[in-house]
Amino acid sequence: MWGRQDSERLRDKGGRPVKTLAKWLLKLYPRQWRIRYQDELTSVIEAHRVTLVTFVDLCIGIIHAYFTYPRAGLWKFRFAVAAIAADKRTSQPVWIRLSSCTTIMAFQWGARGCWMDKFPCYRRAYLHIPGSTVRKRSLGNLVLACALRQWSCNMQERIRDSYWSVDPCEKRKPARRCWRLWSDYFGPSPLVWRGLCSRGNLFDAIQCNQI
Amino acid sequence: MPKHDVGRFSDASYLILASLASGPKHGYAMMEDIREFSGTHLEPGTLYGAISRLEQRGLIEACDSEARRRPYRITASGIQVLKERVEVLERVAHVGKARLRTVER
Repeated sequence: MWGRQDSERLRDKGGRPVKTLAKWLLKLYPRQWRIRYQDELTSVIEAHRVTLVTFVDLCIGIIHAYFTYPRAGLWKFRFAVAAIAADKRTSQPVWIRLSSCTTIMAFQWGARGCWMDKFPCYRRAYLHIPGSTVRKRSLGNLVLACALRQWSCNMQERIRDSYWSVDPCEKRKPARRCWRLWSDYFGPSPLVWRGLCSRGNLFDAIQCNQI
Repeated sequence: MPKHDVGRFSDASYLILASLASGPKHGYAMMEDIREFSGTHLEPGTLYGAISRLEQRGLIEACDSEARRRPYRITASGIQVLKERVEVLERVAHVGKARLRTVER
């Protein structure tokens, strides 16, 4: 009943966003490198089980390609970034996904260990100690981080309406556009990081048996 | 730097050469073959970084193909480099085994 095609279709369906993100990462490779290898690497990624290690490996490969591939200098990296930022179909959702993954990883780093290992302490701190200062501070940080992420998601509409329009008035103000673009893309990041890095609050208290 | 120094991807490079020694293969087939005979799981970034370097050094070459998955084959230089590497590994294995026997006594 479950033929090879059905199982392959299910596997592909389950990993499609992750594979799309990995294929998007290929755009950061040097242009000369991409002309030669992008199709092949794309077909390999489509058949491969993409994990976090794959993303890290691709990032290392990107840096290595800029240093070693002929006619690909590191200074050309700015063209890749500009091309990605100008591609309105992919840059905004990919930015949101990347920032979400980064914030989750920052929180895991702040938790100093596997989230699953800390889950019992996590649950104990948040469900059984309603009045503790630790809980309030950590919850506050998490709420702040979620609110900021939501705000940055809402920026998609603003960006689409104001930056990529053909309004001649907007086009005549490049400095203002650059500032708003920078603030929308990168502004929330430090605040999100600050909001999620609650390591000094929750897990130190658990380890000192204050909870 | 030695003439055929394959640099950062040295282990992956020799694994690719060993895989291609049995015949032309495309990238994904190389990954599967390497995993089968060595147990090493190469990620796509490492694989194509090593393929790029080997191709620049002239140790492998791409076969003509219109499909997305382009096969590669090992060149005469690549065979020579692989032979030298295998000889070195055999010497190391031989010395290691001999010294382990003295340690076990």
